[in-house]
Amino acid sequence: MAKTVVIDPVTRIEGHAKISIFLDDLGEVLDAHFHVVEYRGFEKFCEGRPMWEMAGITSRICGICPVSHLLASAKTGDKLLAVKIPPAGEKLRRLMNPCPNHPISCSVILPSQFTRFSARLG
Amino acid sequence: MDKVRLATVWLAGCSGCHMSFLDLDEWLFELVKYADIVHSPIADIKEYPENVDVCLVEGAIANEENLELIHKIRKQTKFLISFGDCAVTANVPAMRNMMGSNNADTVLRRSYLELGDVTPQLPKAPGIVPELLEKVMPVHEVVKVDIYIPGCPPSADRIKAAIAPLLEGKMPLMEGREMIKFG
Repeated sequence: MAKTVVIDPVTRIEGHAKISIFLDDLGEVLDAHFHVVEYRGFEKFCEGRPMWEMAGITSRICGICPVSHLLASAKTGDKLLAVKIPPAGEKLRRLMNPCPNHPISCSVILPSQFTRFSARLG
Repeated sequence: MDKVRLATVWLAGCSGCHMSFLDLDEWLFELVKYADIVHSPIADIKEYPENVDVCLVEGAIANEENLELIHKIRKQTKFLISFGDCAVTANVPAMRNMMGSNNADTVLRRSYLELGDVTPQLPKAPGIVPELLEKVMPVHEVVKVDIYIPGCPPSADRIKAAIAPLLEGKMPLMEGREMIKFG
């Protein structure tokens, strides 16, 4: 019998999502939808605001990878001002990017996809 | 003594407060001696359980699902903590409020229609994708909040100073720069 499997919510990700998997009469997968159920509107509410606020605001897009958003915003600011940052600044940026993001992904998000650790924590 | 039943949830926010919670590092082992984590986005329990003693609520109330869930949380929780600036003030998610009464539609149109490269369309999946509320609200605008832990995100030290007394049934002292500074 045709059936829909809903995973609600998808846990252990940053953000809010659901997944619907549609099965046919034989139980084979016909289609699958990934639903993003949260939306805040950065694309719009950042418009017209001072450039200097952007690094602070866009880093709040994601609490797991704030530095990536912050750096993207800072680089855009550099381009707007047509400036080049000094080599030490460039190195610092390269150094800081993986600092919080990668350990969080590697220690919190990824292992729980392959082990039962997170389920036991619950 | 029975263990404290502790839950954490995230509503409209970035999960940064939860990352700060994870920054409690080895104190988390201390925490689970006194508390069972009965619900959390970093664990796999899908339904918010009954009889929760303490719940940390991160994020603002921005859509119908947040609204429904926060009422359920309040009903099934003894002590509700507004956790982080989005929960306390609605913070960044509430920036769309400044665009007037039609803000939900305005922000969705910008991303899904004007910036949509492939088959631009507004998200529509009744019963699955919740509708955005016309106004993003802090948690205490909807339900009673017992204490507030501000910060964007609150530091791990602040979280510990707020939770540790609760595990012993005492109220934390939420005073001074170390405990109640925003940002």
